[in-house]
Amino acid sequence: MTAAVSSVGLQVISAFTMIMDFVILVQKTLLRTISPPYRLRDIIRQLEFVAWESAPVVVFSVSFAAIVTIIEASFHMKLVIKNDALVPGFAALLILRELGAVVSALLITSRVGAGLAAEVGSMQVTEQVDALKILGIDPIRYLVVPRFVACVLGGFLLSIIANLVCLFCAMLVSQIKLGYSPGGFIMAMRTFVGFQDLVFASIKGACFGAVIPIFSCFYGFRCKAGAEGVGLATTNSVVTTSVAIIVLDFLLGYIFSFFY
Amino acid sequence: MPTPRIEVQNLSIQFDEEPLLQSLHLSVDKGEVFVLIGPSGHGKSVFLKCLGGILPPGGGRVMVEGESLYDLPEKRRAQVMRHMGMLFQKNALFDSLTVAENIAFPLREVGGCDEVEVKKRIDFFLEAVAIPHARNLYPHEISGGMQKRLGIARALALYPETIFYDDPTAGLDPTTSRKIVQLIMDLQKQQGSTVIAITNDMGRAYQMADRIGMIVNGELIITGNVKETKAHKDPRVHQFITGELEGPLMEVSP
Repeated sequence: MTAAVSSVGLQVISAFTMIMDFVILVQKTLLRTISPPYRLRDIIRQLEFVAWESAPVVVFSVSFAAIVTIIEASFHMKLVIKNDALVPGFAALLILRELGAVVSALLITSRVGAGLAAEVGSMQVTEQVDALKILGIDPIRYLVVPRFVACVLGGFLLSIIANLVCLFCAMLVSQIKLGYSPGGFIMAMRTFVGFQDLVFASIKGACFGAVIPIFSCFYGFRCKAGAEGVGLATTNSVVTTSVAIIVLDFLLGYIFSFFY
Repeated sequence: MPTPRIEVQNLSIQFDEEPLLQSLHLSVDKGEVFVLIGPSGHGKSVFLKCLGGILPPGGGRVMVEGESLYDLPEKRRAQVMRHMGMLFQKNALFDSLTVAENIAFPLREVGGCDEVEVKKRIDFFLEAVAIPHARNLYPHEISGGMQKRLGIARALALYPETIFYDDPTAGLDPTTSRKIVQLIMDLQKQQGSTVIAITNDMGRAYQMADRIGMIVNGELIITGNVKETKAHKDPRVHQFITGELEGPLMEVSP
C-alpha cells in the first residue's frame, strides 16, 4: 500500500516537474525571441526548411483533401436533400475555417516536427548540446528560437498558400464534376465566408506553427540515450504536437466565433 | 596566497534523485594538471560537467577564479565559461559541420574573431593536432583517433584558461593514446592552461598528472602526485591502480 502511494506520488512529482520544464522552455523561448541578438541567417535557413521545402507536400496533400471534400459533400447532399447547390459555400467554409490550417499544420508536424525532435534529441545524446553550453552558447537561443520564428512564419505562410490552393482545387472540381462555373463558385463562397476567415486561418497557422518546435525541442532536450531514446522522443513529439494542434484548433475556433 | 583557478566547496550532486557525490572539496591551481581516476559509473563525468558549468550541483559551490560559477548572473557565467574548453567522452563534434567548421564554430560564435583570424587558427590547430588533410571532411568520415584530435582542437580554439578532458584516450589504441596525451601536454605547456582530465588508463594518468584524485563511492580521495598515488595506503586506490580483481572495489556497486 505504502509502495503504491509512494509510486503514485513520484509519478505526480515527475509529471509536475515535466510541466514546469515545459513552461520554462516556453517562457525562455518567448523572451529570447524578442531580445537581441537575432540570428537572422539561421532563421532564414530554417524558414527555407520549414516553408519552402514543405510547400510541395502541403500543396499536394491539401489539393486532394479539397477534392475529396467537394466530392463527398456533393454525394451526401444529393443523397439526403437531392441538391448540391450549397456545396461550394460549405466547402469553402470548411476549407478556410479548418481544413487548410489544420491539415497543413499536421503535415508540417510530421515533416518538420519529427525532424526537429530527432535532430535535437540526437544532439542531446551525443553531448552536442553540452558542447554548446560549455562555449557559453544558450541552446534555447541557438537551437529553439530560430526554429520557433521560422515555424511561426512558415505556419502563417503555408496556411495562406494551403487555403488558396484548396479553394482553387475546390473551384476546379466544382466546375468539372458538379458543373458550377468559377463565377458561381465564388458567388456561393462569398455568401458563406469573408476576408476575416482567411485572416483567422492565417492566425491559426501561425499558432500551430509555434506549437511544433516547442514540443519537438522539449522532447529532444529530454531525450534518453540510444536509438530507442531518439525514436521515443520523436514519436512523443509528433503525437503530442498533433493532439495539441487539434485542441488549439478547438480553442481558437471558439475564440474566433465571438468575432463573426 | 594566489586564488586557485578552480575550487570546489562542499559539492554534492544527485542523479535520478539518488545522491551520487557528497561533500567534495578540491582546489586546482593555475597551470596545474589534475587527473581524476575511479571506477566507471561513480560520477567522474558528472563531476567534470559540474565543474564546467554544464550541470548545476545539488549543493555546494564551484568557484572559478574566486567567483561562484552557479551564483553568477547568466551573462557573466557565459563570459566565465568562454575561458573554459572541454573534450567530451564521445567528442560531441557538430556532425553537420566539417572538420574546419567545427574548429571555426567557437571562434565565430563566441570568439568574435574576424575571418582572417578564424582561418589562421584553423590552420594552426589542424597542424597542431596533425589532421590538416581532413579539413573538408565531416566528423563521420574520419577515424576515432582523428575525431579525438578534432575534439581537442575545438576545445582549445579559444585558448581557454581551463580545459576539461573526459577520457581523452577512451577507445584508442596504445600508440594513439600516448600520442594524444603527448599532444595534450605539449599544448598545455604552450598555453600554460589548467587541465582537469579523467582517465582510467593509469599509464596515461602518470604521464599527465601533477596531482591525482580518485572518485569512488561518492567521495573524492586526493591521492597526491604520481609517487604518492603509487604508495597510497587506501586499499581502494591500491586495488584500482594495480587492477587487482579482489579487494574493496568489488563491494562497491557501479
